[in-house]
Amino acid sequence: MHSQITKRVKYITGICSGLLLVSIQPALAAGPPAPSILSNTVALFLIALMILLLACIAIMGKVLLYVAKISLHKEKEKQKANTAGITASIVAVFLLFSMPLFAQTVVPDAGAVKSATDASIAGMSSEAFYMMMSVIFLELVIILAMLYNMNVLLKSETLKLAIEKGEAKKIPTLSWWDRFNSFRPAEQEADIDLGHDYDGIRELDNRLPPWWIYGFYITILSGCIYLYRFHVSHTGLSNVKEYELSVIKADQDIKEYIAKKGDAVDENTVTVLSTPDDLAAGKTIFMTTCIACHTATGGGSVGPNLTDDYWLHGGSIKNIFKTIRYGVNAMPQWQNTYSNKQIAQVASYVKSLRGTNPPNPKAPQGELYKEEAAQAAPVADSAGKANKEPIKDSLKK
Amino acid sequence: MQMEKFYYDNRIVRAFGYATVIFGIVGMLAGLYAAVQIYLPQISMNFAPTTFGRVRPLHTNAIIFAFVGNTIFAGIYYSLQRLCKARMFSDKLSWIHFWGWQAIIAAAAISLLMGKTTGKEYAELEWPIDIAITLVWVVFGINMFGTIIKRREKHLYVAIWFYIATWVTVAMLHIVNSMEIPVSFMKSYSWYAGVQDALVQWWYGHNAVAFFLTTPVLGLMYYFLPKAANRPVYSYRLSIIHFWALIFLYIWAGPHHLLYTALPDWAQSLGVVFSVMLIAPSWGGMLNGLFTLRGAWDKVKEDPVLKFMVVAITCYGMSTFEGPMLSLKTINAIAHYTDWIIAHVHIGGLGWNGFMAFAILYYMVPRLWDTTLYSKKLATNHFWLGTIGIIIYTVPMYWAGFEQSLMWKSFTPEGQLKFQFLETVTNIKPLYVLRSIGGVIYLTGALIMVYNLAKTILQGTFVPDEAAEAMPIIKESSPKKEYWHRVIERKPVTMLIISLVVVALGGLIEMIPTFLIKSNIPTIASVKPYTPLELQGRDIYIREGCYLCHSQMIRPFRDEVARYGEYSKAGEFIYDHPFQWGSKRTGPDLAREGGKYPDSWHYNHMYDPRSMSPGSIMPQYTWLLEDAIDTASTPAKIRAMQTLGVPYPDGYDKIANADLVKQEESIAASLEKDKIKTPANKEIIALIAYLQRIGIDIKAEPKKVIVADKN
Repeated sequence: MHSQITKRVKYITGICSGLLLVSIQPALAAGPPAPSILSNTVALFLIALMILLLACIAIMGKVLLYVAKISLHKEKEKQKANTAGITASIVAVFLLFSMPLFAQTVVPDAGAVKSATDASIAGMSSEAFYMMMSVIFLELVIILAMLYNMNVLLKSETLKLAIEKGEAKKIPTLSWWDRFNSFRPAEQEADIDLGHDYDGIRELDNRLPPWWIYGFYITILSGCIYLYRFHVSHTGLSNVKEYELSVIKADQDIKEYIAKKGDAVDENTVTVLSTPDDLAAGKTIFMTTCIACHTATGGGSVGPNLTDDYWLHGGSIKNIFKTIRYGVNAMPQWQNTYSNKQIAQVASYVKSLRGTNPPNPKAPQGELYKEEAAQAAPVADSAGKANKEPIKDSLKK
Repeated sequence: MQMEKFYYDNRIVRAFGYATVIFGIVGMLAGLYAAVQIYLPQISMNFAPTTFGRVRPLHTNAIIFAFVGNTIFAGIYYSLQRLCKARMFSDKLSWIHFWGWQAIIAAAAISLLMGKTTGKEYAELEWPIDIAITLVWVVFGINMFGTIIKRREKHLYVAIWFYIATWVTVAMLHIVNSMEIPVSFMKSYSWYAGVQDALVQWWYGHNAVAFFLTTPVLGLMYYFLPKAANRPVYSYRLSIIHFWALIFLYIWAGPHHLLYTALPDWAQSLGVVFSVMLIAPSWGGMLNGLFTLRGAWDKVKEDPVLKFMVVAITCYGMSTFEGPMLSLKTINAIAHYTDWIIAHVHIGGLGWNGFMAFAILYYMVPRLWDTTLYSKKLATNHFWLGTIGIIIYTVPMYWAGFEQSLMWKSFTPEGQLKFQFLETVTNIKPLYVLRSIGGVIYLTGALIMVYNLAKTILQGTFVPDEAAEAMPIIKESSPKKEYWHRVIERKPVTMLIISLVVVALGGLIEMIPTFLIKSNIPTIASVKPYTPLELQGRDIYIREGCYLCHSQMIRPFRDEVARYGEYSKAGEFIYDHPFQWGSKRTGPDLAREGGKYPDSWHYNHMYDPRSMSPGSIMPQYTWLLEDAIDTASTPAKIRAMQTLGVPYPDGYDKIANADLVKQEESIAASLEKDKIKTPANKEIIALIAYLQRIGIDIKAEPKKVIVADKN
């Protein structure tokens, strides 16, 4: 009797989940082939929710089965004839709640046909949206039904317990943790001992924790969805695409910011700054960034002397600004490190070093620069980019 | 049928146990020394063998192969005999295995400090040692299978499944990844280049963690945990499912070490999804461990062995959840190259491997010496010191990693990088100090264990041959029907073969297309082989372990392109035997270092990094200024490269040194212009030549050539 009922309950649960899968299918089928759906966050969220609820249903189904078993077991113990009554009621309850299943699977279809021409909802076609919403609704109904069912079973159990206080201890108590992991009560350990003995180590045949096995399925499923998105439907961005988009977005943001601020300085508009604040700011940057090559006095070591009148890449404020900003040969570019304002401050500080005659200077390099001549010189010689060929080009094969 | 009497060999277990303790302490000390060097570079004492780049591989190799390796062997030799109800197959093989392994460790320690390295992480040992490892591993395999074959227990227990999978997979990983062409005694080049080398290396690196630090230790857990708790294993079903799922899925996940690199996108995606699928199989081991303790938690309060195991298994659970999370690209983009990864591996290393090793030692030593543990209290103190040590080690490292990564990625509203690289380093120095304090606390705990075990040994009497008896296996004429997996459990060779097939699949599917399909690595016409001087410089770069702190792989991120230059392309690395992408950015990326600074900057920077970058934590490399380049090796190196397919002209090996001298002199001349006088034949010149070459070839290329990336 007992096993028969268990079988029947299992059978019904099977039907329920089967129906559920069938009802999900159209939604999934509607999902993947149209790449737009999977790139839609709302759709993804809904699909994830559907899967999550399905997992909940599966776990609750197990628990419900277990509770039903205990309840049946008790009945059998009492040798009462009304077992069939309970079975019938369980079956009835299940059937009752599987009815809406049929109803629900039909309704969205009808709705979908009607609204096929409607505008999209939350960025996806309305039929897909309603389909998914109805699946979620359906799943919620099933969960509620199961909760109700469980409640009924457990309530009757506790009622009976209250009546027969003396026997209360015989029923194994299961905490939510025990149920969550599908633990067997410690008293039943002997039943699941496999009889293995390895150097005194025995093995039990406990069930897999339901959350573990369903979690495993979910990771496998999400793995498949991931590969589908990135390599079949191409709705996921490739590494390079992702990078290009981020640069475009950043450029826009910067443009907006500069437009708002309205004081964009560049190599065409820069002038020598002479306020003490600007020069102090320039000096601070110079002392942290430039002295490794140009020394603290600007007299030069690895890099050229900045205090004399000879310049490798031009001595006007505009040329110095440009050299700092974009770099030339061994001189690194600083446009990614410092704002144009800051570069103007450093360039101005460098200009202020002229004629300071530091001790032990580096020999002059480059061409003699005269203040007036450079003022008129054009700045459009492409920032030394043309001759940015690596220094050791001749050494390569 | 009569009971057979036999003796377990405890001597070999004792030997491996001693080795575990000694190399555990040595490995931790090396780690501590390296950790302090990060904020006090001066303590390298300006001596080549004690610089970070050589001590760090010593630390990792000592911990993985010496400490955990000896733990595994001690545990296997102890448990295998008892699970098979048989003495080890051959005492002679046992001792060849033991002394062979210790000799390898000694050779590894010496050669790594001498700078003899292949430049591939966790596979740094040079080819003669690689061969020795293979031979000793085979000896171990024969001894293990011999024991299994002559067992008196019909079925193989789950611990032995893990031992078998470990043995066969480590053999496969080691052989495939160590394919290298010898140039001379103790110098070789990896058979693979660039992207392919990276794929093979991280297939190996990831699975060294899986099959050297995880599966054998899980096997040990399956023996020592139920024994110590005297509880039955929670679920046989779970053992079967998580074992097969674990070894099958683990192999695939290697590419998650290479997300956003020049590795083809499809391989990266496989790395992501297989890592995520690994959560459940990994946790299967944790659940089977922790649930076995159901009904024995009162014992955990009392028994230090169980205490260590509970924290070890918890750490295992944490890091095997964190690993898949780190494999998600969004998280990986933040965590990779930072100290976050260092924290992650130390949850595994200090927590899982360290604590399991301690638990096993506390379990075995009293039994081998037929006594009780000298002091439970000291063991409990060790437990608490270890746990606190782990927390003080890892929390600052998580913090450092997260903070540094965010600083790297910060831009000003004007679109400039907000922080210079050096600022992001000096900012986290205090956290490096804290980390080393955590290490000291952990090490103190381990030293207390040494004292406790020594006292235990002194109060007991060693049992060299432990008597046991069991019935021999009865051959059944008509075997009764068994559960399908029980059948496999009776057939060790079948199990070996199935394991090999299961673990070979993932690697094959990822590697074959990467090697054979051209579009995976689009060629770039302007990428040329290194000049002889640059090649010599590259070997110095490898010798000094530069790759341990400097990556050579610019990911396609806005901040990295702004900071370092154009992101790296697969075709740039086709002559890189071995690849030098690195896995950690303690210093900045060097993939586009060529031409960034003048020669004289590099010269001064190598002599004293702080003269060029105040606050830098890089060690000094003064010996490079004094030692001459080993030009005698040039022809052999050129020939080896030619064998590997690098297109030097025929007979170039004979004239290579002439080219080398020419390039030396031009660099010396450029230095002289900047007031630096040096003979042209010094190692620094070769290193400068290499540094000035890295990543510049692509700049000569018109942009449109970079195509064919379908993904």
